[in-house]
Amino acid sequence: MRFSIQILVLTCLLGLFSACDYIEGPKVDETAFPSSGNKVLLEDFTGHQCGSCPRAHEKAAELKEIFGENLIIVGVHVGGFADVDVADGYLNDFKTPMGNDLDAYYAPYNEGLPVGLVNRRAFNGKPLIKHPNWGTAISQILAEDPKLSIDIQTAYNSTSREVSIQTDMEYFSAGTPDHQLVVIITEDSLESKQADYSLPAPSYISSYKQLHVLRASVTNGTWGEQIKPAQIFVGERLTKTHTFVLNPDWVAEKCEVVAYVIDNTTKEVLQAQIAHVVH
Amino acid sequence: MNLNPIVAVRGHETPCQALLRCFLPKVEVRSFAWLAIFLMGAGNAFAQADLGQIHGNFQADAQVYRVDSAIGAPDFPENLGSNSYLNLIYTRGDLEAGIRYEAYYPTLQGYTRQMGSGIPYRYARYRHKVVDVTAGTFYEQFGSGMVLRTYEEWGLGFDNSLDGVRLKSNPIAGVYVTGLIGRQRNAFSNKIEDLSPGIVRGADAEWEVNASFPRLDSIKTRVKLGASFVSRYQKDEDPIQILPENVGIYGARLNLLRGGFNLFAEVATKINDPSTVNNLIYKPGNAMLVQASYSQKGLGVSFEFKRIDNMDFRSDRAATFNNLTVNFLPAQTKQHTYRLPTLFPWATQAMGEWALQGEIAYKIKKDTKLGGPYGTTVALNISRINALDKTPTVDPFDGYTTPFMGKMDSVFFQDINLEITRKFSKSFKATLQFLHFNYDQSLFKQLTGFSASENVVADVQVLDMSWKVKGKHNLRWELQHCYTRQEFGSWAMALVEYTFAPKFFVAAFDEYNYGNAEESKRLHYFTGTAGVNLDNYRIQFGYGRQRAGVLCVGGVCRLVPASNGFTLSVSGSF
Repeated sequence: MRFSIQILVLTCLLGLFSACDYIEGPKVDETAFPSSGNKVLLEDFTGHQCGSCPRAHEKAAELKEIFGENLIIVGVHVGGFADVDVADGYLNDFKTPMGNDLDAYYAPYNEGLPVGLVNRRAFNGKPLIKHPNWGTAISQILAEDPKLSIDIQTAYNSTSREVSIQTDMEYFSAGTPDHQLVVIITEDSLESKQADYSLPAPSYISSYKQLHVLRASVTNGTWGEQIKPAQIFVGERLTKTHTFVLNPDWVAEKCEVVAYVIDNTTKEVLQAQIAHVVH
Repeated sequence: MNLNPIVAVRGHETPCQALLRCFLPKVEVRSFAWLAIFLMGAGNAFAQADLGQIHGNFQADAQVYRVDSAIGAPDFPENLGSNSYLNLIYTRGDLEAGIRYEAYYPTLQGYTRQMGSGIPYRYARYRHKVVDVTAGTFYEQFGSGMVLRTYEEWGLGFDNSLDGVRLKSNPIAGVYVTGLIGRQRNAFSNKIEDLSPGIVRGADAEWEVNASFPRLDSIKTRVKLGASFVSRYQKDEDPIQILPENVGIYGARLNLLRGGFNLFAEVATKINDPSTVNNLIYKPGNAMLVQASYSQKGLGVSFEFKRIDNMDFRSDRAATFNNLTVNFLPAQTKQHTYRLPTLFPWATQAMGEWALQGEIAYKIKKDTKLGGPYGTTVALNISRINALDKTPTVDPFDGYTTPFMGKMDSVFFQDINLEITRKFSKSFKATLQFLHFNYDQSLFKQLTGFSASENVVADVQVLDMSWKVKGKHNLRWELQHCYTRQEFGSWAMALVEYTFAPKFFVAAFDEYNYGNAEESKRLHYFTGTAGVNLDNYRIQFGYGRQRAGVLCVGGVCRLVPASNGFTLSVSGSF
């Protein structure tokens, strides 16, 4: 009996030790986040018919406030939630071949939107991360030393609508032939109908601003182009140039060029940069 | 299967051993005994003659997929998916050990995609007098499950088992205590590294009052009291919000029994738990469940009430869908088994619902005018679920306020159904069902992508007839109809099933979506199945089209995509 009473006491203690944390003071930590020079790419998989996605957009905006220019956000519209549905008034097609490729590779739509990639790195074994965890992932990467830096120069011809892009890379650690440069165009503040489950029925916003929407890939396909067919040395500087003609429906002043380097084996983003098309 | 002596000589093996050999050709049956013994650290058992018993079961489900653009069945790159498992449980005296091997090459459509195999379930358990210790994977439930319930549901692809240590004890007559600690299995994954980032700790105590006092032991009224507490630890790595790292949920319950009367009540509350599901609010959650029933010969009455508010609790605050749920919130709706009524299942809304359910079943006596020669059973079931009336707070971190009463004019779900079962003769019986649904389809939008601007209102009728042709031959057929103007429109269904008991059965059914608003989608979904039962084993083949839908068990749901192709299912136990 004595032994059994000990067990009873131990079991109860287990419960007592599992204390509770009541958060009664401020709920936001105002600490500043220094960056080592890394810029982080957040790909927010979304869709205009996805009623939970505005929560992720809000989270992304909140993180942008905190991390400022160290965070580059791209809205990638994928899956059934991004489909055009004329009957329901979802008229804009924000899907792109590149977005479809990313959906085929990472399957965010199957995982359930909203969900995102932070530098396409796996955290807890999974590259797809739900928006409440984006901040954690971003701050981890920002604390690391950068492997290279990227600088973008753009020149825009408003008559031909052609944008010339020069991307300069400087390596701080050795690179491999697997490193690829991806250059994409995003467009900001696109108005569309957006489902939002936080609103009472019929739960949508008719004039919603879609931010930093992925429009097209400038470089070859989704995974970009090889930077150098050999080892890249520490301190080596490399330059790539591209031209791209903007679609007549896009507003050049709201378009931006995003360039990033990936390791094509892991697909992880090693460094990113952003620049306006029109200065 | 007795392992004494362990002999696995080809030609003399038992059916069970032969089966194991088929499944695991490179592994001697004997190895499992060694493994089990190793798991328990009971090497000295060798010296003894009795080496214990092995039991188990297995199931293998496979489907060949064909693209069928008419019904939206997508391309399945491998053309074939399969989910399989084999459970082995070894017992010897006070010791028990078990494993479950699972293989997905790859998972069937609609399950979290996986490719590979593993042993996600393995445990050793020792039970002696008042002590019961489990190390490894285990399933546990406190009370109704509102505080903690880990279980697996193969058909749903759901398994939130805990991997850790559990201690159960019965230290005093009538008192049962449980303590546990561990991490949870995530999304049907086989990998240890995918276990929940949060650690779950919990304790439960249940007191059978009558058993503790000899004077009360003989009285008719039985009383059980219970209390439970569970806490999750997950590191706060959020750079912005200050998140609670230890989140607790606790509950108290009462169970009163007297004769045919049974009353169960449980209340639970959860402290601040900002999560993806509740949109990172700090509002505490709470839940109340009352179930009362009375039964006597020929009559059964039951009533249930539940109110839940912000009670989604998981071992990862970022988890969604069915992943890593720690608690279980039972659904107050009838679980239908006929095909067309399952078009309208209910998924418990952990973020808030107000539910009522009542049921009365009465058997009209035989040899009366209404009852007929064998009696007739009439069952009426009504369930209604409303939204809570939520008002957002000024500080968004507080979420919302809500009064106790639900939002009575906002119907989440309503099901009124009447079932009449009557045996007309020794060889013929029939069941007739009438069902009326009112259903807020938009709650499934996140799952299915279906758009819905108004509730689905549907009337369904089912007629199930069974005729014993002769001896062991039985013919059963069903006619079902669903009338609705919303969603996919009206459906009709017919089924014929022939059974030659206990070995063979063959069945065919067709669902026809004749009322679809889009003419091109007025399609037939034809399926044929045949099966054979051999002792403890069952093999079933099928071919046909399956409509897309939502499968729910106890309020937990998964999406079933449309498919077209062959199916094969093999299951058994030994």
